[in-house]
Amino acid sequence: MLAFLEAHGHWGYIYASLAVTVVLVLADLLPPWLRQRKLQNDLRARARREQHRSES
Amino acid sequence: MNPVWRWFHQLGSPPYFYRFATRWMPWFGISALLLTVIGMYLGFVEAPADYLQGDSFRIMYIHVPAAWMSMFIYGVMALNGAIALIWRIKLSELLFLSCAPIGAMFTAITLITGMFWGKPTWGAYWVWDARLTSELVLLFLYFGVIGLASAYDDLRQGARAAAVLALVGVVNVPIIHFSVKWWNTLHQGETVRIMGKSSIDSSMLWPLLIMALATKLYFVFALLLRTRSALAEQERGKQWVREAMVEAA
Repeated sequence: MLAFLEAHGHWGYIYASLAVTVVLVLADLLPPWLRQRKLQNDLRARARREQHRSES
Repeated sequence: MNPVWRWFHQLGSPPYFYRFATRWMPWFGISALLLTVIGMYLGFVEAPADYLQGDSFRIMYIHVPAAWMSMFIYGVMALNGAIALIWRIKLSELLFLSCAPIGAMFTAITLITGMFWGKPTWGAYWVWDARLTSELVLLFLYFGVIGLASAYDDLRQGARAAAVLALVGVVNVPIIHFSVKWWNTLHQGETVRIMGKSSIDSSMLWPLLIMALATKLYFVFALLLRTRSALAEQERGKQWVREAMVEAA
């Protein structure tokens, strides 16, 4: 990988910096977003179950 | 009571904070994204190449704002840690814990992009220079805070223990900032100055300032996202969380 970077000159290092930044930002944002989605789905499913139970 | 102070008190209430975060998060996220696009266009396309460093200087548009944020977030984290220790405010504990991974991410970006800038400029990816070493210590401090907080079964107890470490680690922030003055380092000195004239042309400075603002807005966005999620998780049994989740459907 380092040889690839060195072969592409300055722009190789720039693209590598951008790629690393995008990966780290996604790694920062995805876990809390997914946790929130999961909790939201769990609580909504529970609310639906309770509604069904009260209707039947 | 002063309206600002009253708002600050209200923000300490979990349901109020949750609603506040849900309402404002998209605005911070969209503004950060827009400014990033503008800053990157100006920095990576419009700005001229540096007469000495060539195009590799453009890495600065990621590296420098990330470095500023790595120190700024540490300050915010330590402040929340102190509030959590002194007044035991639940929300401060969550804000403190949410700062650590975001700060670690910015520190990692600083170190990695710095390596990619160092190779074409200095001829080496890494040197044990005072600035680089103190920034690496900052990354270890963030990892220490994350690790110590998660070592406890009780989240609140873990947050308070980690807050002590964070407060001790504050001493590293001025060391990072002044390292280029205190020691003879390979890392260049201050280029952008708040007081006095910056030694950078305005065509190169403006994209940098736009990127700096974008990273600040991103931090607020990510902090609200993380804290909101942690708060909902912690209070999941409460009626207001269920109402907020069903309301959002």
